[in-house]
Amino acid sequence: MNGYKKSILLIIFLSFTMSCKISKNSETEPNNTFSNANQIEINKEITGYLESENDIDNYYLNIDEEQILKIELSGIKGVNHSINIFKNENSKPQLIKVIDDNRKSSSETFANLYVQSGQYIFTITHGSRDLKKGNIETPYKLLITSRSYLNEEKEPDDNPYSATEIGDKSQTMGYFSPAQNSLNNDPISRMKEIDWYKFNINISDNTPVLIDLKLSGVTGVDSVVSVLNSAMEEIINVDSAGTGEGEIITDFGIKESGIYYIQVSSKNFLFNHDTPYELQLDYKTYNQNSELELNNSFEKANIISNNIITGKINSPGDQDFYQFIPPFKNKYYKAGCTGVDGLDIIMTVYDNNRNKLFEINNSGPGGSETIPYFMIKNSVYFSVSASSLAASEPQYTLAIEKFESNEVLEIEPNNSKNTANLINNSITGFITYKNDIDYYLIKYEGRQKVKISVRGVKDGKIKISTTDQLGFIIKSKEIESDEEISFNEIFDKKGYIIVEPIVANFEFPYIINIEDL
Amino acid sequence: MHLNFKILCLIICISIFGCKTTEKETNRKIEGENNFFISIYDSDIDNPENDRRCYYMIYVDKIESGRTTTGLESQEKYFDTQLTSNRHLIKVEKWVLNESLGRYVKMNNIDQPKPDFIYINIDKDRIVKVKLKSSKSGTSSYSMTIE
Repeated sequence: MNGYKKSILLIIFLSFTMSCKISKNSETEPNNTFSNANQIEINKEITGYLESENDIDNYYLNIDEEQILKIELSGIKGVNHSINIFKNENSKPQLIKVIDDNRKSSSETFANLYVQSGQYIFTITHGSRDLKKGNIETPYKLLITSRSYLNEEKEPDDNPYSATEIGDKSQTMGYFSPAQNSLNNDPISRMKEIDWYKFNINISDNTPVLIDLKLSGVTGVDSVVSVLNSAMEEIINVDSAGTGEGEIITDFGIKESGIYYIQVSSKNFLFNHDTPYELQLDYKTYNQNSELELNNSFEKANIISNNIITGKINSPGDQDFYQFIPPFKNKYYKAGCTGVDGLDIIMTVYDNNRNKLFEINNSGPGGSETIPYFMIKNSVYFSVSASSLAASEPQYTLAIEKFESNEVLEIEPNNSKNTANLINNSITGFITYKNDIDYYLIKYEGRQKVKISVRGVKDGKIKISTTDQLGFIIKSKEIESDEEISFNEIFDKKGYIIVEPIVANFEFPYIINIEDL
Repeated sequence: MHLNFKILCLIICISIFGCKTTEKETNRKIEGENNFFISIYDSDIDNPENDRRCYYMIYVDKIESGRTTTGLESQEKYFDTQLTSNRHLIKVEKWVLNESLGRYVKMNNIDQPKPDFIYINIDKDRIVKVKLKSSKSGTSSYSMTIE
């Protein structure tokens, strides 16, 4: 008897528990208008039918406090349905979101609708894409569940006016949900579901603010992050990681006070209704030895003030520009850029007129790119980019130092006859970068026989050629490592000496001596 | 007066002869100067398209001694050097410009001037000048003057 009672009590308890979690109900037709909408409740599943191509089912939900709703609508075989969500403000329902994945037979889900006290109407209707038709055999099931609001995006936040506000050191949770936004008619991002955030920056003492932005990865989603200024101009866009991976913006410089916007979106309408992303924002004050993004052009180049600067390659296409104004003009300087492991740096140097002087990519990932020396006549520009970006913190350091030498040094660029260095008795040169060709001009009053002595590049191999007046090669010699060779040549008033690398070594110089015979 | 006229004539004659002697001496080799000159050209180039840029490598006694100036095949190209008093073998080797390569390349042996050598005798205080005239057919003729 006791056992029988216990069983009954257990059944009653289980029934009570289950009914508390989710209870079921059915729609009551007609409910085709807002005025005859059926009331629904949170955690109470409701079943209904889209009986004909014209059938519309309206449900309303009264909300008494701020919270997050998850809306799930099961699929109807052969029917593309959708959910239109309205907020009833002053008895005037305002459409705030359309949930429609544009597919037949599939369910619709919206992971996080932010609601406040008031009335919301959920309209189950046909989707916009396929032929509208009824189905009286397969019902749909609509279930709305709820959770407390805490540091989450406030959907719908699909435009700058409804952007979720965040601040320094904030961690905000959001979803790549729903898959599409039918209300997005922007020609560039049409149908794209974009989560908008906004933050305020106050600049004091003209010291820029650096922001770090970190978006966590979500399974099955290839995400994109953009930052826009108050004029709605995109100032940075990051899409360096692949599907399931996060995106990072670090040390991005902001020089003007104002409201800035962040767009978080997915590529190819990828979604995940179950796993949220986390968006982390941090501010810090700019250090003048650090890069200040956005510096992707000559116009926005950062000034190198203390002969050293650190920066980061934020995305594969990121190119950081710096301007170096030498304290001593017409002097030789040495430049080096060192990246972390996995970061293959490309360092490019431009003259004051923004003409490319040379591009240095001699080392592999994690290696240092160096210009042994080069003459800086006026200011120069450096650009730093990466040919491979397999580092989690793709940081680099660019350092410049004055180069002192008593020798007559090559002046780069001298890659052609037109830029050849005039050589008198002796010159010291370097293979500055891969395939660097150095031209030297020799001039005499008449025909002159000379002895040319060359010491090669240690741990390298070079080819040295002499030419006629027009620059056509007459004689070539190859020099292994730092061995020294001599040969005679005749120059008819003018000729060139050309040095080309066969096995490049960028560390050690070659030396050419010329002696009249 | 008559004696004065004779003395004047004598001075003029001495001066004239003296000048001639000096002129003769300029043709002689001066110590430390070059005493061998060679100029080479193609005599029958009649089409600019076939007139290639070239030079000749000069070998003296089978040792590379230098090269001529560069120029078109139809132009005279020169080389000069100082040789010891002796009999010398002078050999020439033609190099033509390959514009696509941007360098001069040695012509095939079958296209080299024939003969591509000449023996010369260098005497003390004498200058030897050789003129090599080449033709399309590959034949070459040498003329030599000794001063």
